[in-house]
Amino acid sequence: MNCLKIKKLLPGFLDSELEQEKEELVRQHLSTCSECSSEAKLLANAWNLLNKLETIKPSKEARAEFWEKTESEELDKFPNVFSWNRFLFRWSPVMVAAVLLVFSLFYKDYLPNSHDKEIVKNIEMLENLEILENLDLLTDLPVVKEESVEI
Amino acid sequence: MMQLSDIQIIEKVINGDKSAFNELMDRHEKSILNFTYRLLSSRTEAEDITQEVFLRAYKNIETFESRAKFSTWLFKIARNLCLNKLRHTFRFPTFSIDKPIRGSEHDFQRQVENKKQVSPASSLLKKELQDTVKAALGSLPKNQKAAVVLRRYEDMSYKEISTVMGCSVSAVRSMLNRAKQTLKNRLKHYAQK
Ligand SMILES: [Zn+2]
Repeated sequence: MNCLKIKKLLPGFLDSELEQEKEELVRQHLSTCSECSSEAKLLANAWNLLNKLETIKPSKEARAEFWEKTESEELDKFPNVFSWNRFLFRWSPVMVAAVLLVFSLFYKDYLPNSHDKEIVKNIEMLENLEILENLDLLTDLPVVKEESVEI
Repeated sequence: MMQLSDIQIIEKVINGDKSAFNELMDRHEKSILNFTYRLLSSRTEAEDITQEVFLRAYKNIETFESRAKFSTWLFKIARNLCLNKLRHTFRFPTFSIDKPIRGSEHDFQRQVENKKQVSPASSLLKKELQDTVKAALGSLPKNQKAAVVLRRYEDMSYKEISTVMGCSVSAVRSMLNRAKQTLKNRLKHYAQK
């Protein structure tokens, strides 16, 4: 077997991960070839240098955090448990809107006509105000744009 | 008292003795932490991933098949999480090239500088060697790096590495062949001595 083939087998040889037959071949070759045996030495030395790397230790806080997380995740396993607080919080805007709707339907017939007109007027005014405010926003836009370009 | 095997402890956990899982962590936490640390080269990220590994193992403990070693299973989870993490950081780097590096890395640099001022020359050489070794390992493609770490620090056989990596033994062999050549070339200067 030539040196090139032996060199390819060296990493496996150094890990004792060659078939017996090949291992014997490499062993014999190394005893006679100085080039391959210095290559083997170089490979082994480089490999051993890996022990220069630092080893780190787990922290005690990590363990405490681990158990905290398992507990909170066990609680998450039952997210369907009914809670009045959660229900009210989530649905309160809808309920308020529904109450207002029912209220307005009920009292519509009792409102005098002049009041109706005034309400419509007020709404129109509010809408105009809103448009004005939005116009302000529109005029602000180029300024904002310029600034963002400069950054 | 005779020490229980990992499998026996797992049975205890499954039967309701949750705190027995502490013993499994005592046995394997350090290995997993250092494995992830060497793959990710960030202590904080390694700690996060290690915790995730054990959370997943704990949650899925009933699915563990006792034909395999518990540690192999842990390394398998750890390796997958690390590769995901590396893929993610590659696409979304956490620091900007324009901005100066802040936080831990900067602190680390400062620590090194301070050390230089007070340490004797031998310690400096040691640090230089350590950095070179770290860089050599860091230069390997991530799968080769994982194989090297499992072989070098966990003393795993090629067969066991192939189980962790989910590939064939011959794939492990060629990964380690290439990795060892690269390490040799990069560390030649120190390896010749
Ligand atoms: Zn030769």
